[in-house]
Amino acid sequence: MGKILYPPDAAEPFFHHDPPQTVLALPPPDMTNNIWAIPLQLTNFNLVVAVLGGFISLFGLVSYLLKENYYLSEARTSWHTLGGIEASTDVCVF
Amino acid sequence: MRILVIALLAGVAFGPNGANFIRPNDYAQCEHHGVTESDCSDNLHSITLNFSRLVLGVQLVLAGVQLPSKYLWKEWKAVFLLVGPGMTAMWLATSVLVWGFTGRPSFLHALAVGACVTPTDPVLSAVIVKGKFADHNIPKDLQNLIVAESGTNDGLGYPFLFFALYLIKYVGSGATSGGAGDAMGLWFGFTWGYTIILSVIYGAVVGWVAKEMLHWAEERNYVDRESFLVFAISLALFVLGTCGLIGTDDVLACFIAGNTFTWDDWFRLETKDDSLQPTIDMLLNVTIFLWYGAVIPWELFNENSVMPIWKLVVLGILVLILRRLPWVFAMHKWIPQIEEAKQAVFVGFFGPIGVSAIFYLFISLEFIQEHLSDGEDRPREDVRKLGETIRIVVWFLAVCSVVSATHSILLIVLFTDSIRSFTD
Repeated sequence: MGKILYPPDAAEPFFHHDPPQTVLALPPPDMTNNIWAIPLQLTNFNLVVAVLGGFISLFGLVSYLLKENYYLSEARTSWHTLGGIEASTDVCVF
Repeated sequence: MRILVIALLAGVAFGPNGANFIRPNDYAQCEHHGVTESDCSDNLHSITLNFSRLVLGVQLVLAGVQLPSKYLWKEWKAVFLLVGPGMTAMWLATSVLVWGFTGRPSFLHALAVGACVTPTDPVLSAVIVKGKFADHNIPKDLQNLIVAESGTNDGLGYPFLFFALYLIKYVGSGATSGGAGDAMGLWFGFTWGYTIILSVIYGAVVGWVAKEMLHWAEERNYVDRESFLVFAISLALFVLGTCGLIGTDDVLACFIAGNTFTWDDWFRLETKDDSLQPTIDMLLNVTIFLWYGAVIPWELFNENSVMPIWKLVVLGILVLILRRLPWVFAMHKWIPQIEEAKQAVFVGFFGPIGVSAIFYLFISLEFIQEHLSDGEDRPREDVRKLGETIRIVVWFLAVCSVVSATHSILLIVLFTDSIRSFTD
Protein backbone atom coordinates (compact mmCIF):
# COMPACT_ATOMS: atom_id res chain seq x y z
CA MET A 1 0.00 0.00 0.00
CA GLY A 2 1.46 3.29 -1.07
CA LYS A 3 0.98 6.39 0.90
CA ILE A 4 -2.05 8.35 -0.13
CA LEU A 5 -0.92 11.90 -0.66
CA TYR A 6 -4.22 13.61 -1.36
CA PRO A 7 -7.18 11.79 0.10
CA PRO A 8 -10.24 13.04 -1.77
CA ASP A 9 -12.24 14.22 1.25
CA ALA A 10 -9.25 16.08 2.61
CA ALA A 11 -8.52 17.63 -0.75
CA GLU A 12 -12.03 18.90 -1.27
CA PRO A 13 -12.03 21.98 0.93
CA PHE A 14 -8.84 23.13 -0.76
CA PHE A 15 -10.19 23.13 -4.27
CA HIS A 16 -13.80 23.87 -3.49
CA HIS A 17 -14.46 27.54 -3.82
CA ASP A 18 -17.84 28.42 -5.15
CA PRO A 19 -18.30 32.09 -5.93
CA PRO A 20 -21.63 32.73 -4.20
CA GLN A 21 -22.75 35.35 -6.72
CA THR A 22 -23.18 32.71 -9.48
CA VAL A 23 -25.69 30.85 -7.34
CA LEU A 24 -27.64 34.03 -6.80
CA ALA A 25 -27.43 34.95 -10.46
CA LEU A 26 -29.21 31.75 -11.59
CA PRO A 27 -32.60 32.41 -13.16
CA PRO A 28 -35.62 31.42 -11.10
CA PRO A 29 -36.06 27.69 -11.59
CA ASP A 30 -39.25 27.79 -13.61
CA MET A 31 -40.02 26.97 -17.26
CA THR A 32 -37.61 24.07 -17.30
CA ASN A 33 -39.47 22.43 -20.15
CA ASN A 34 -40.48 24.19 -23.31
CA ILE A 35 -44.25 24.06 -23.35
CA TRP A 36 -44.50 24.45 -27.13
CA ALA A 37 -42.23 21.50 -27.83
CA ILE A 38 -43.89 18.57 -29.56
CA PRO A 39 -44.40 16.12 -26.70
CA LEU A 40 -42.67 13.15 -28.25
CA GLN A 41 -42.80 10.33 -25.78
CA LEU A 42 -40.39 7.70 -26.92
CA THR A 43 -41.05 5.44 -23.99
CA ASN A 44 -40.51 1.72 -24.08
CA PHE A 45 -44.19 1.05 -23.63
CA ASN A 46 -45.20 3.15 -26.63
CA LEU A 47 -42.54 1.63 -28.83
CA VAL A 48 -43.32 -1.93 -27.87
CA VAL A 49 -47.05 -1.49 -28.33
CA ALA A 50 -46.62 0.24 -31.71
CA VAL A 51 -44.23 -2.39 -33.04
CA LEU A 52 -46.27 -5.27 -31.69
CA GLY A 53 -49.53 -3.92 -33.07
CA GLY A 54 -48.02 -3.09 -36.43
CA PHE A 55 -46.38 -6.47 -36.75
CA ILE A 56 -49.44 -8.48 -35.76
CA SER A 57 -51.60 -6.49 -38.18
CA LEU A 58 -49.27 -6.75 -41.13
CA PHE A 59 -48.46 -10.38 -40.44
CA GLY A 60 -52.16 -11.09 -40.05
CA LEU A 61 -52.85 -9.73 -43.51
CA VAL A 62 -50.69 -12.35 -45.14
CA SER A 63 -50.83 -15.00 -42.45
CA TYR A 64 -52.63 -17.60 -44.50
CA LEU A 65 -50.39 -17.03 -47.48
CA LEU A 66 -47.27 -17.46 -45.40
CA LYS A 67 -48.57 -20.51 -43.65
CA GLU A 68 -49.50 -22.07 -46.95
CA ASN A 69 -46.03 -21.41 -48.28
CA TYR A 70 -44.28 -22.71 -45.22
CA TYR A 71 -46.23 -25.93 -45.21
CA LEU A 72 -46.28 -26.08 -48.93
CA SER A 73 -45.61 -29.74 -49.42
CA GLU A 74 -47.94 -30.85 -46.68
CA ALA A 75 -50.78 -28.65 -47.83
CA ARG A 76 -50.26 -29.49 -51.48
CA THR A 77 -50.12 -33.20 -50.88
CA SER A 78 -53.15 -33.18 -48.67
CA TRP A 79 -55.11 -31.26 -51.26
CA HIS A 80 -53.85 -33.52 -53.99
CA THR A 81 -54.68 -36.61 -52.01
CA LEU A 82 -58.20 -35.38 -51.40
CA GLY A 83 -58.51 -34.47 -55.04
CA GLY A 84 -57.23 -37.88 -56.00
CA ILE A 85 -59.67 -39.69 -53.77
CA GLU A 86 -62.50 -37.66 -55.13
CA ALA A 87 -61.42 -38.24 -58.68
CA SER A 88 -61.08 -41.97 -58.17
CA THR A 89 -64.49 -42.27 -56.48
CA ASP A 90 -65.96 -40.25 -59.27
CA VAL A 91 -64.39 -42.61 -61.76
CA CYS A 92 -65.67 -45.63 -59.85
CA VAL A 93 -69.18 -44.23 -59.79
CA PHE A 94 -69.03 -43.60 -63.43
CA MET B 1 -70.84 -4.50 -13.62
CA ARG B 2 -70.81 -6.46 -10.45
CA ILE B 3 -67.78 -8.38 -11.57
CA LEU B 4 -65.78 -5.17 -11.72
CA VAL B 5 -66.66 -4.28 -8.14
CA ILE B 6 -65.62 -7.77 -7.13
CA ALA B 7 -62.38 -7.34 -9.06
CA LEU B 8 -61.77 -4.03 -7.31
CA LEU B 9 -62.38 -5.59 -3.91
CA ALA B 10 -60.19 -8.55 -4.83
CA GLY B 11 -57.48 -6.08 -5.78
CA VAL B 12 -57.74 -4.55 -2.32
CA ALA B 13 -57.67 -7.94 -0.68
CA PHE B 14 -54.67 -9.20 -2.65
CA GLY B 15 -52.90 -5.87 -2.72
CA PRO B 16 -50.51 -4.27 -0.27
CA ASN B 17 -53.31 -3.44 2.15
CA GLY B 18 -54.39 -7.09 2.31
CA ALA B 19 -52.64 -10.33 1.55
CA ASN B 20 -49.87 -8.55 -0.36
CA PHE B 21 -49.85 -10.92 -3.33
CA ILE B 22 -50.03 -8.01 -5.76
CA ARG B 23 -47.13 -5.71 -4.91
CA PRO B 24 -47.22 -2.56 -7.02
CA ASN B 25 -44.26 -1.06 -5.16
CA ASP B 26 -42.19 -4.09 -6.00
CA TYR B 27 -43.01 -3.83 -9.71
CA ALA B 28 -42.10 -0.14 -9.65
CA GLN B 29 -38.70 -1.18 -8.25
CA CYS B 30 -39.24 0.78 -5.06
CA GLU B 31 -37.26 -1.66 -2.97
CA HIS B 32 -34.21 -1.53 -5.19
CA HIS B 33 -31.12 0.08 -3.94
CA GLY B 34 -30.71 3.74 -4.81
CA VAL B 35 -34.28 4.32 -5.97
CA THR B 36 -35.70 7.43 -4.37
CA GLU B 37 -39.28 7.82 -3.31
CA SER B 38 -40.11 10.16 -6.17
CA ASP B 39 -38.66 7.72 -8.72
CA CYS B 40 -40.76 5.03 -7.16
CA SER B 41 -43.98 7.01 -7.38
CA ASP B 42 -43.09 8.09 -10.93
CA ASN B 43 -42.68 4.47 -11.95
CA LEU B 44 -45.91 3.51 -10.29
CA HIS B 45 -47.75 6.38 -11.96
CA SER B 46 -46.43 5.51 -15.38
CA ILE B 47 -47.38 1.86 -14.95
CA THR B 48 -50.91 2.80 -13.99
CA LEU B 49 -51.17 5.44 -16.73
CA ASN B 50 -49.95 3.11 -19.46
CA PHE B 51 -52.10 0.27 -18.25
CA SER B 52 -55.14 2.56 -18.31
CA ARG B 53 -54.21 3.74 -21.79
CA LEU B 54 -53.90 0.19 -23.01
CA VAL B 55 -57.32 -0.75 -21.66
CA LEU B 56 -58.93 2.42 -23.00
CA GLY B 57 -57.35 2.06 -26.44
CA VAL B 58 -58.44 -1.51 -26.95
CA GLN B 59 -61.89 -0.88 -25.48
CA LEU B 60 -62.47 2.14 -27.67
CA VAL B 61 -61.48 0.41 -30.88
CA LEU B 62 -63.85 -2.40 -29.94
CA ALA B 63 -66.56 0.15 -29.12
CA GLY B 64 -66.02 1.82 -32.47
CA VAL B 65 -66.14 -1.54 -34.23
CA GLN B 66 -69.36 -2.54 -32.52
CA LEU B 67 -71.26 0.60 -33.43
CA PRO B 68 -73.38 0.34 -36.58
CA SER B 69 -71.98 1.65 -39.84
CA LYS B 70 -71.35 5.42 -40.12
CA TYR B 71 -72.84 5.90 -36.67
CA LEU B 72 -71.06 9.11 -35.75
CA TRP B 73 -71.94 10.57 -39.13
CA LYS B 74 -75.63 9.70 -38.98
CA GLU B 75 -76.25 10.47 -35.33
CA TRP B 76 -73.98 13.45 -35.00
CA LYS B 77 -76.72 15.63 -33.59
CA ALA B 78 -77.48 13.50 -30.57
CA VAL B 79 -73.81 12.77 -29.95
CA PHE B 80 -72.95 16.44 -30.31
CA LEU B 81 -75.63 17.48 -27.82
CA LEU B 82 -74.24 15.09 -25.23
CA VAL B 83 -70.62 15.88 -25.96
CA GLY B 84 -70.75 19.65 -26.46
CA PRO B 85 -73.21 21.26 -24.05
CA GLY B 86 -73.50 18.05 -22.04
CA MET B 87 -69.83 17.75 -21.23
CA THR B 88 -69.49 21.46 -20.53
CA ALA B 89 -72.34 21.35 -18.06
CA MET B 90 -70.92 18.25 -16.41
CA TRP B 91 -67.52 19.88 -16.17
CA LEU B 92 -68.82 23.09 -14.61
CA ALA B 93 -71.17 21.32 -12.22
CA THR B 94 -68.45 19.03 -10.90
CA SER B 95 -65.98 21.90 -10.68
CA VAL B 96 -68.34 24.06 -8.64
CA LEU B 97 -68.95 21.19 -6.24
CA VAL B 98 -65.24 20.47 -5.90
CA TRP B 99 -64.53 24.16 -5.47
CA GLY B 100 -67.03 24.41 -2.64
CA PHE B 101 -65.77 21.32 -0.88
CA THR B 102 -62.02 21.86 -1.10
CA GLY B 103 -62.16 25.16 0.77
CA ARG B 104 -62.06 27.30 -2.39
CA PRO B 105 -58.36 27.34 -3.30
CA SER B 106 -58.85 28.78 -6.76
CA PHE B 107 -61.61 28.06 -9.20
CA LEU B 108 -59.04 27.09 -11.84
CA HIS B 109 -57.81 24.26 -9.64
CA ALA B 110 -61.34 23.03 -9.24
CA LEU B 111 -61.81 23.21 -13.01
CA ALA B 112 -58.80 20.93 -13.44
CA VAL B 113 -60.25 18.42 -11.00
CA GLY B 114 -63.65 18.62 -12.65
CA ALA B 115 -62.15 18.06 -16.09
CA CYS B 116 -60.61 14.76 -14.99
CA VAL B 117 -63.99 13.30 -14.13
CA THR B 118 -65.95 14.86 -16.99
CA PRO B 119 -65.60 12.07 -19.58
CA THR B 120 -67.89 9.13 -19.02
CA ASP B 121 -66.02 5.90 -18.91
CA PRO B 122 -66.26 3.57 -21.91
CA VAL B 123 -65.31 0.51 -19.87
CA LEU B 124 -68.07 0.89 -17.32
CA SER B 125 -70.59 2.13 -19.91
CA ALA B 126 -69.96 -0.89 -22.07
CA VAL B 127 -70.62 -3.12 -19.10
CA ILE B 128 -73.82 -1.28 -18.25
CA VAL B 129 -75.32 -1.56 -21.72
CA LYS B 130 -74.48 -5.23 -22.05
CA GLY B 131 -76.23 -8.14 -20.47
CA LYS B 132 -79.70 -9.23 -19.55
CA PHE B 133 -80.78 -6.13 -17.72
CA ALA B 134 -79.82 -3.85 -20.57
CA ASP B 135 -81.40 -6.05 -23.23
CA HIS B 136 -84.70 -6.03 -21.38
CA ASN B 137 -84.83 -2.38 -20.46
CA ILE B 138 -82.77 -0.32 -22.86
CA PRO B 139 -83.59 -0.11 -26.55
CA LYS B 140 -80.77 -0.87 -28.97
CA ASP B 141 -80.67 2.74 -30.22
CA LEU B 142 -80.07 4.07 -26.77
CA GLN B 143 -77.39 1.46 -26.05
CA ASN B 144 -75.53 2.56 -29.14
CA LEU B 145 -75.87 6.20 -28.16
CA ILE B 146 -74.43 5.54 -24.71
CA VAL B 147 -71.49 3.67 -26.21
CA ALA B 148 -70.90 6.38 -28.83
CA GLU B 149 -71.07 9.11 -26.22
CA SER B 150 -68.65 7.47 -23.85
CA GLY B 151 -66.28 6.75 -26.72
CA THR B 152 -66.31 10.27 -28.08
CA ASN B 153 -66.15 12.21 -24.87
CA ASP B 154 -63.33 10.12 -23.56
CA GLY B 155 -60.79 11.64 -25.87
CA LEU B 156 -62.41 15.06 -25.61
CA GLY B 157 -61.48 15.47 -21.98
CA TYR B 158 -58.21 17.03 -23.14
CA PRO B 159 -59.59 20.49 -24.04
CA PHE B 160 -61.37 20.81 -20.70
CA LEU B 161 -58.37 19.69 -18.71
CA PHE B 162 -55.81 21.76 -20.55
CA PHE B 163 -58.00 24.85 -20.54
CA ALA B 164 -57.66 24.77 -16.78
CA LEU B 165 -54.03 23.69 -16.68
CA TYR B 166 -52.76 26.31 -19.12
CA LEU B 167 -54.63 29.04 -17.28
CA ILE B 168 -53.16 27.85 -13.99
CA LYS B 169 -49.73 28.05 -15.56
CA TYR B 170 -50.10 31.54 -16.99
CA VAL B 171 -52.62 33.40 -14.85
CA GLY B 172 -52.53 31.40 -11.61
CA SER B 173 -51.35 33.33 -8.59
CA GLY B 174 -47.82 31.94 -8.87
CA ALA B 175 -47.40 32.65 -12.59
CA THR B 176 -44.10 34.27 -13.46
CA SER B 177 -44.57 34.99 -17.13
CA GLY B 178 -47.16 35.15 -19.88
CA GLY B 179 -50.82 35.93 -19.63
CA ALA B 180 -54.24 34.70 -20.64
CA GLY B 181 -53.29 35.22 -24.28
CA ASP B 182 -50.46 32.68 -24.05
CA ALA B 183 -52.74 30.23 -22.38
CA MET B 184 -55.41 30.59 -25.06
CA GLY B 185 -52.80 30.37 -27.83
CA LEU B 186 -51.53 27.12 -26.40
CA TRP B 187 -55.03 25.88 -25.87
CA PHE B 188 -56.21 26.51 -29.42
CA GLY B 189 -52.96 25.71 -31.15
CA PHE B 190 -51.78 22.82 -29.12
CA THR B 191 -54.76 21.18 -27.51
CA TRP B 192 -57.21 21.63 -30.37
CA GLY B 193 -54.81 21.60 -33.28
CA TYR B 194 -52.16 19.11 -32.31
CA THR B 195 -54.00 16.93 -29.86
CA ILE B 196 -57.60 16.75 -31.04
CA ILE B 197 -57.66 17.47 -34.78
CA LEU B 198 -54.45 15.62 -35.54
CA SER B 199 -55.60 12.56 -33.65
CA VAL B 200 -58.99 12.55 -35.40
CA ILE B 201 -57.34 12.75 -38.80
CA TYR B 202 -54.71 10.17 -37.88
CA GLY B 203 -57.28 7.77 -36.47
CA ALA B 204 -59.53 8.15 -39.51
CA VAL B 205 -56.67 7.57 -41.95
CA VAL B 206 -55.31 4.55 -40.11
CA GLY B 207 -58.74 3.00 -39.71
CA TRP B 208 -59.54 3.52 -43.38
CA VAL B 209 -56.22 2.16 -44.60
CA ALA B 210 -56.57 -0.85 -42.32
CA LYS B 211 -60.03 -1.53 -43.70
CA GLU B 212 -58.85 -1.31 -47.30
CA MET B 213 -55.87 -3.54 -46.62
CA LEU B 214 -57.95 -6.13 -44.86
CA HIS B 215 -60.43 -6.12 -47.73
CA TRP B 216 -57.64 -6.55 -50.24
CA ALA B 217 -56.08 -9.42 -48.33
CA GLU B 218 -59.40 -11.10 -47.61
CA GLU B 219 -60.42 -11.08 -51.26
CA ARG B 220 -57.25 -12.92 -52.14
CA ASN B 221 -57.65 -15.33 -49.21
CA TYR B 222 -54.39 -14.32 -47.62
CA VAL B 223 -55.85 -14.01 -44.11
CA ASP B 224 -56.51 -16.90 -41.83
CA ARG B 225 -59.38 -16.84 -39.39
CA GLU B 226 -57.37 -16.15 -36.22
CA SER B 227 -55.57 -13.18 -37.68
CA PHE B 228 -58.81 -11.82 -39.06
CA LEU B 229 -60.48 -11.89 -35.66
CA VAL B 230 -57.56 -10.38 -33.82
CA PHE B 231 -57.07 -7.63 -36.41
CA ALA B 232 -59.11 -5.02 -34.53
CA ILE B 233 -57.08 -5.56 -31.39
CA SER B 234 -53.73 -5.35 -33.12
CA LEU B 235 -54.99 -2.22 -34.87
CA ALA B 236 -55.78 -0.79 -31.44
CA LEU B 237 -52.27 -1.52 -30.22
CA PHE B 238 -50.75 0.08 -33.29
CA VAL B 239 -52.80 3.28 -33.03
CA LEU B 240 -52.20 3.50 -29.31
CA GLY B 241 -48.46 3.06 -29.66
CA THR B 242 -47.92 5.43 -32.56
CA CYS B 243 -50.15 8.15 -31.09
CA GLY B 244 -48.35 7.74 -27.80
CA LEU B 245 -45.03 8.21 -29.54
CA ILE B 246 -45.99 11.51 -31.11
CA GLY B 247 -47.84 12.55 -27.98
CA THR B 248 -51.27 13.23 -29.43
CA ASP B 249 -54.66 12.07 -28.15
CA ASP B 250 -54.35 8.29 -28.47
CA VAL B 251 -57.70 7.57 -26.89
CA LEU B 252 -59.69 9.64 -29.38
CA ALA B 253 -57.64 8.31 -32.30
CA CYS B 254 -58.45 4.76 -31.25
CA PHE B 255 -62.18 5.42 -31.19
CA ILE B 256 -62.16 7.16 -34.56
CA ALA B 257 -60.01 4.40 -36.03
CA GLY B 258 -62.49 1.79 -34.78
CA ASN B 259 -65.32 3.74 -36.37
CA THR B 260 -63.79 4.22 -39.80
CA PHE B 261 -62.52 0.65 -39.72
CA THR B 262 -66.13 -0.58 -39.81
CA TRP B 263 -67.45 2.29 -41.89
CA ASP B 264 -69.06 -0.20 -44.28
CA ASP B 265 -70.15 -2.53 -41.45
CA TRP B 266 -68.25 -5.40 -43.03
CA PHE B 267 -65.90 -6.28 -40.17
CA ARG B 268 -68.59 -5.82 -37.54
CA LEU B 269 -70.98 -8.26 -39.23
CA GLU B 270 -68.19 -10.75 -39.89
CA THR B 271 -67.12 -10.84 -36.24
CA LYS B 272 -70.51 -10.29 -34.62
CA ASP B 273 -71.02 -13.83 -33.37
CA ASP B 274 -67.46 -14.37 -32.37
CA SER B 275 -66.55 -14.37 -28.71
CA LEU B 276 -62.98 -13.09 -29.04
CA GLN B 277 -63.82 -9.41 -28.57
CA PRO B 278 -65.97 -9.85 -25.45
CA THR B 279 -63.33 -12.17 -24.03
CA ILE B 280 -60.50 -9.67 -24.45
CA ASP B 281 -62.83 -7.00 -23.13
CA MET B 282 -63.58 -8.95 -19.97
CA LEU B 283 -59.96 -9.91 -19.42
CA LEU B 284 -58.76 -6.31 -19.64
CA ASN B 285 -61.55 -4.96 -17.44
CA VAL B 286 -61.03 -7.42 -14.66
CA THR B 287 -57.26 -6.97 -14.72
CA ILE B 288 -57.37 -3.21 -14.61
CA PHE B 289 -59.82 -3.11 -11.75
CA LEU B 290 -57.75 -5.63 -9.82
CA TRP B 291 -54.76 -3.35 -10.34
CA TYR B 292 -56.73 -0.28 -9.30
CA GLY B 293 -57.80 -2.04 -6.13
CA ALA B 294 -54.15 -2.59 -5.32
CA VAL B 295 -52.87 0.90 -6.15
CA ILE B 296 -55.69 3.18 -4.95
CA PRO B 297 -54.24 5.39 -2.19
CA TRP B 298 -56.78 4.27 0.39
CA GLU B 299 -54.84 5.67 3.31
CA LEU B 300 -54.98 9.13 1.73
CA PHE B 301 -58.78 9.21 1.85
CA ASN B 302 -58.66 9.10 5.58
CA GLU B 303 -55.65 11.28 6.23
CA ASN B 304 -54.93 14.15 3.94
CA SER B 305 -54.54 17.89 3.99
CA VAL B 306 -57.40 18.55 1.58
CA MET B 307 -60.58 17.45 3.27
CA PRO B 308 -61.85 14.99 5.88
CA ILE B 309 -63.46 11.76 4.78
CA TRP B 310 -67.04 12.77 5.56
CA LYS B 311 -66.69 15.70 3.21
CA LEU B 312 -65.36 13.37 0.53
CA VAL B 313 -68.37 11.10 0.96
CA VAL B 314 -70.83 13.98 0.72
CA LEU B 315 -68.97 15.31 -2.30
CA GLY B 316 -69.12 11.86 -3.91
CA ILE B 317 -72.88 11.59 -3.43
CA LEU B 318 -73.54 15.11 -4.68
CA VAL B 319 -71.35 14.60 -7.74
CA LEU B 320 -73.16 11.37 -8.58
CA ILE B 321 -76.51 13.14 -8.43
CA LEU B 322 -75.73 16.59 -9.83
CA ARG B 323 -72.94 15.95 -12.29
CA ARG B 324 -75.05 14.64 -15.11
CA LEU B 325 -78.63 13.91 -14.24
CA PRO B 326 -80.09 17.45 -14.42
CA TRP B 327 -78.43 18.31 -17.73
CA VAL B 328 -79.27 15.11 -19.53
CA PHE B 329 -82.81 15.37 -18.24
CA ALA B 330 -83.06 18.94 -19.51
CA MET B 331 -81.77 17.95 -22.94
CA HIS B 332 -83.62 14.68 -23.43
CA LYS B 333 -86.41 16.24 -25.51
CA TRP B 334 -83.91 16.97 -28.28
CA ILE B 335 -82.31 13.54 -28.27
CA PRO B 336 -84.54 11.24 -30.30
CA GLN B 337 -83.00 8.07 -28.83
CA ILE B 338 -84.24 8.97 -25.37
CA GLU B 339 -87.96 8.40 -25.71
CA GLU B 340 -89.19 8.60 -22.13
CA ALA B 341 -88.31 10.42 -18.96
CA LYS B 342 -87.40 7.09 -17.41
CA GLN B 343 -84.67 6.56 -19.96
CA ALA B 344 -83.41 10.10 -19.46
CA VAL B 345 -82.99 9.33 -15.78
CA PHE B 346 -81.15 6.17 -16.71
CA VAL B 347 -78.77 7.92 -19.11
CA GLY B 348 -78.35 10.75 -16.65
CA PHE B 349 -77.52 8.54 -13.76
CA PHE B 350 -75.07 6.40 -15.65
CA GLY B 351 -72.21 8.63 -16.48
CA PRO B 352 -69.67 6.37 -14.89
CA ILE B 353 -66.34 7.73 -13.68
CA GLY B 354 -63.67 5.13 -14.13
CA VAL B 355 -60.64 4.25 -16.20
CA SER B 356 -60.74 7.45 -18.23
CA ALA B 357 -60.79 9.60 -15.10
CA ILE B 358 -57.70 7.79 -13.83
CA PHE B 359 -56.08 8.36 -17.21
CA TYR B 360 -56.67 12.12 -16.98
CA LEU B 361 -55.60 12.12 -13.35
CA PHE B 362 -52.14 10.96 -14.39
CA ILE B 363 -52.05 13.25 -17.42
CA SER B 364 -52.54 16.22 -15.11
CA LEU B 365 -49.99 14.98 -12.59
CA GLU B 366 -47.55 14.69 -15.47
CA PHE B 367 -48.30 18.27 -16.53
CA ILE B 368 -47.75 19.55 -13.01
CA GLN B 369 -44.43 17.77 -12.89
CA GLU B 370 -43.22 18.95 -16.28
CA HIS B 371 -44.57 22.44 -16.59
CA LEU B 372 -45.53 23.66 -13.15
CA SER B 373 -42.46 22.59 -11.21
CA ASP B 374 -38.90 23.76 -10.94
CA GLY B 375 -35.85 21.70 -11.91
CA GLU B 376 -36.02 19.56 -8.78
CA ASP B 377 -39.64 18.51 -9.22
CA ARG B 378 -40.89 20.87 -6.58
CA PRO B 379 -44.30 22.20 -7.62
CA ARG B 380 -44.83 25.95 -7.78
CA GLU B 381 -46.00 27.64 -4.60
CA ASP B 382 -49.68 27.96 -5.58
CA VAL B 383 -50.06 24.45 -7.02
CA ARG B 384 -48.44 22.64 -4.11
CA LYS B 385 -51.74 21.11 -3.07
CA LEU B 386 -53.22 20.69 -6.54
CA GLY B 387 -51.63 17.31 -7.22
CA GLU B 388 -52.83 15.88 -3.95
CA THR B 389 -56.31 17.32 -4.43
CA ILE B 390 -56.63 15.79 -7.88
CA ARG B 391 -55.35 12.44 -6.69
CA ILE B 392 -57.68 12.21 -3.74
CA VAL B 393 -60.83 13.56 -5.35
CA VAL B 394 -60.55 11.69 -8.66
CA TRP B 395 -59.69 8.35 -7.08
CA PHE B 396 -62.47 8.75 -4.57
CA LEU B 397 -65.06 9.72 -7.18
CA ALA B 398 -64.04 6.75 -9.30
CA VAL B 399 -64.50 4.40 -6.35
CA CYS B 400 -67.88 5.99 -5.59
CA SER B 401 -68.99 5.61 -9.18
CA VAL B 402 -67.96 1.99 -9.48
CA VAL B 403 -69.55 1.05 -6.19
CA SER B 404 -72.74 3.02 -6.78
CA ALA B 405 -73.35 1.56 -10.21
CA THR B 406 -74.23 -1.82 -8.74
CA HIS B 407 -76.70 -0.27 -6.37
CA SER B 408 -78.16 1.95 -9.02
CA ILE B 409 -78.92 -1.07 -11.16
CA LEU B 410 -81.04 -2.19 -8.25
CA LEU B 411 -82.55 1.24 -8.11
CA ILE B 412 -83.47 1.21 -11.76
CA VAL B 413 -84.98 -2.24 -11.42
CA LEU B 414 -87.14 -1.00 -8.58
CA PHE B 415 -87.88 2.09 -10.54
CA THR B 416 -89.08 0.26 -13.64
CA ASP B 417 -91.11 -2.16 -11.53
CA SER B 418 -92.84 0.60 -9.64
CA ILE B 419 -93.72 2.33 -12.89
CA ARG B 420 -95.04 -0.88 -14.31
CA SER B 421 -97.23 -1.57 -11.28
CA PHE B 422 -98.41 1.99 -11.38
CA THR B 423 -99.59 1.81 -14.98
CA ASP B 424 -100.99 -1.74 -14.79
